[in-house]
Amino acid sequence: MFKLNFNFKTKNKDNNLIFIFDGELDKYALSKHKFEINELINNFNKDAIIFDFEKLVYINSESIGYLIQINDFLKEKGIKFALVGVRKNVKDILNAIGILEVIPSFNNYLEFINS
Amino acid sequence: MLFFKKNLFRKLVSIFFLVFVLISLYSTYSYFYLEQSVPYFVLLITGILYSTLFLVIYYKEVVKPLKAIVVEMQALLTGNEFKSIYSTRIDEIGVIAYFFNQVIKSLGKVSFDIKDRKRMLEELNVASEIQRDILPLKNPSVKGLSIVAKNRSASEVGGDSFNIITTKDKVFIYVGDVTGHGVAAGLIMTMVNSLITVFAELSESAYEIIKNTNKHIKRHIKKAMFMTVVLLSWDIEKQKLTYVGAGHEYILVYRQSIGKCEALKSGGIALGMVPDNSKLIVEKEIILDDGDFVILYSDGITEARNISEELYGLDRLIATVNNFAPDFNAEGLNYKIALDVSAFMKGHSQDDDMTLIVIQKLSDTINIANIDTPTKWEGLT
Repeated sequence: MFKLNFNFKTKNKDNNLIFIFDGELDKYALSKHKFEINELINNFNKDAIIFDFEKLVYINSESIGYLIQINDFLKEKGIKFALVGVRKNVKDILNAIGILEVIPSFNNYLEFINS
Repeated sequence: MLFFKKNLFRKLVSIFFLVFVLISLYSTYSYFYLEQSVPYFVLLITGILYSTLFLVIYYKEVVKPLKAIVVEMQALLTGNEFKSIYSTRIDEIGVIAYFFNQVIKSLGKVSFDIKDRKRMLEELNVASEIQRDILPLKNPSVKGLSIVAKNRSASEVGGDSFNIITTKDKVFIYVGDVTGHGVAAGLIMTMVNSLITVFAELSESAYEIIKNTNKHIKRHIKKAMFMTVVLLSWDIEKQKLTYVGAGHEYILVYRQSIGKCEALKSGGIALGMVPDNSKLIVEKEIILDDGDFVILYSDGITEARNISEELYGLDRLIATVNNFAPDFNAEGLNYKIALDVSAFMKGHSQDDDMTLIVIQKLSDTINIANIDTPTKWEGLT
């Protein structure tokens, strides 16, 4: 079933690029937005890329795989990558798979800056 | 000289036309210059000649080519042999012939695509069969345990994997799920299954099996792909169950003594995420009494959706286990869960592979509970 209840926007702050995700990140949303997100990440050359998951209510396994791909890519480029504001249900999924052992997660953007 | 190069039909038409022109000239001459009326027989011959000429030309230039096209079209539509129509004409007949030739050219391409698609489907079926051969087709008999595993792929080649491997002293039971499904997921699943089977023969420790499998799979896996696994290890003599998680779903344990299902985090990190997972995985024990259940599943179960796009979810799964575990054995509980998931999904397609393994600890006196039950999830939609 094709779903369109996902969107994202970006903002630049303190030399960081913040992606604000809203809705359900499933395989349809991922395939629709992946190219655009890749373009933005490829063209970024500053300090850190932050994924704000405060409004993200669901993430599927393929999207988690995509997070790992981004993490590996940014690691090679020497750019930090972090998740902020992850909801409990999404955090449970990420924790279960063990991804938070690899990608740091913070309660909010301020906490990330202070870290 | 040009006259002799023409074919017989053109020669006849030319002669016909020449006679027609001569008669017309004679009629005109006799009417205007000799002031004589044109004889009736001349008019009659002219009329007959004119009509015949018209009919011959009409038949040869319109009816015959159209008939040829219709014959080929009929052959095409009735599935008989047909051929393209050669025509150098640039009028309507030529356009129809050109259109017909283009249609059969396109049909040829479509036919090739269909044959190619058929070949690919046949290859996918072969891949699917190979995968099915890798997964256990029957649930084995294990001393002290009743194991009922069922699996249903969402596509020809699935990403879910499970196996029950019996070594000298132990039985290893695992369920795994590769990101996504399809050929790529199926290939990784096949690799992981082979590695776990090989390492199970070489090592008696579930921890070592998962550690070594991760080390080898990381080299071959695409960056965006990973596989979650939970591996149970059953010590046949000690009747002791341990597990190692690699980022998989919860392990459900239903205890008969309290009549309640608890969800244990499998823990660890999914295979293929980091080159070395040795510090992130741990082997833990699950203490079981006789009659207790352990349920392993893939996310195809908990992420099954109904027509309102609601998820089946962990809470619903736990409730189903609590509902049926007191009254059923492993086979019955597996069936009841499968039935509940299928009823929930009614009207919605299956998006992901589904695997469900129900294990029940048996008393020491019972050796075999289920004999050769198939692992294919059948009969439920």
